[in-house]
Amino acid sequence: MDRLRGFLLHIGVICSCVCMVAKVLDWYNPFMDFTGHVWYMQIVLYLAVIVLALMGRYQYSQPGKCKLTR
Amino acid sequence: MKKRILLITIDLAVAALVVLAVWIVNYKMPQEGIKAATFPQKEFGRDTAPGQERQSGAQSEGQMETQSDSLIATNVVMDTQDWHEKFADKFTDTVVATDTSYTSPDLSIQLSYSHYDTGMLDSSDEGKHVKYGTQVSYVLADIYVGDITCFQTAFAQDTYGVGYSEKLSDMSSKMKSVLAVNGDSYSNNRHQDNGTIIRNGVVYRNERTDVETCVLNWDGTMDIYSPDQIDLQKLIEKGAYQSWIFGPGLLDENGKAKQSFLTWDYIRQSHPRTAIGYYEPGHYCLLLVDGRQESSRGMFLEEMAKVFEDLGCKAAYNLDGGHCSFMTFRGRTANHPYKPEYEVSDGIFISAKQ
Repeated sequence: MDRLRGFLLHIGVICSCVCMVAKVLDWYNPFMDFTGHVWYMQIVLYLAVIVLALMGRYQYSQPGKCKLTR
Repeated sequence: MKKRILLITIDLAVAALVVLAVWIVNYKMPQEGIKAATFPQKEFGRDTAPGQERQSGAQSEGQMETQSDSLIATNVVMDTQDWHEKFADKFTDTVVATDTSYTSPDLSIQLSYSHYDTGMLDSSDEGKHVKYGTQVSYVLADIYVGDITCFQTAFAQDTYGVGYSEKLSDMSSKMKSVLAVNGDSYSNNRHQDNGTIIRNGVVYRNERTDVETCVLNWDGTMDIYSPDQIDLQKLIEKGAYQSWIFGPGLLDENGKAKQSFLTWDYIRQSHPRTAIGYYEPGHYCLLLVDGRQESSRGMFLEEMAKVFEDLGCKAAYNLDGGHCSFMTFRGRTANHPYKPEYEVSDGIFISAKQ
């Protein structure tokens, strides 16, 4: 579980960075539509966030097991 | 702590690699290109009667077969006036060429250089342009053509599509053009509404657009359409010859400089510029503004619009600028680019008739 959480956090960082770079590049030239060409990274980011949130909610709901480990 | 920093660094490196891969795959690799249709030089020679209207292309419905695709050709509606007579004082019986001028029986090009101090710094973009100072220099090519076919466009590697690029000087050499400038970098426009592309009378793309479209017609007139005005069928019937989709248009319907422009914020800053101006059928100008260097910061759109207004143009349109801005004249670089020549996806070529 912790390994999966760690993996999804890394996925979130990578996807977020890619999407932010695309947004910046689109500011310089919206014609090139960088954001449109990384839509799959946005999907992966959203899924990673959802799974992380569900995992966190699950751990939080477990009596005596609510503390997140490092 | 060190491990965390290492992991974050690896994440950032992976993100950079992903961005690089996206850029290469979607913008640099050639993708399903369409070979440019052969320009029908023989059909539109001097024996074409002025005012003659006919369907161009190989088939009756205006369909033109190319190697890989069927393309639509626009109607050829020539001007009723003979431009050789209209601009007789501009042309010469033989070719007369200098470093800044070229005249022949079909073509007249005069280059003029200008350099002045605007007294105004570009403080936009958090002051990144301030270092370029207040000077501006540009080269203006005043062009008279005896035949619209002297005004041609070409795709890099003779192919319409994404990922095809070529140096303008190489393209100019192949086209044997007297004057060449970069075009609108049509292939960079990768979003859904990426407009209508017509080159040398052939339609390569017809999509909606959210920018102004500049259209040069077979009869030599130039129109600039707002996004909601573009209608391919009307363009075909009217006889569209070339179209560009960068923008914005710089003058209003009275030939006065616009105060607001349909474009995005980055383009509103001062940059090297390439722009086309229209006076009347057969008479055009191409403006090339140097920029991003101490000797010339580039122009704001308002400044460039004022230049065209002062020239007396009826219409003017901004093409792709930045480090794409490049002009060649008789095989030599005519402007002062701030970087070595950049490969572009298309260009405008002024050639004497073959």
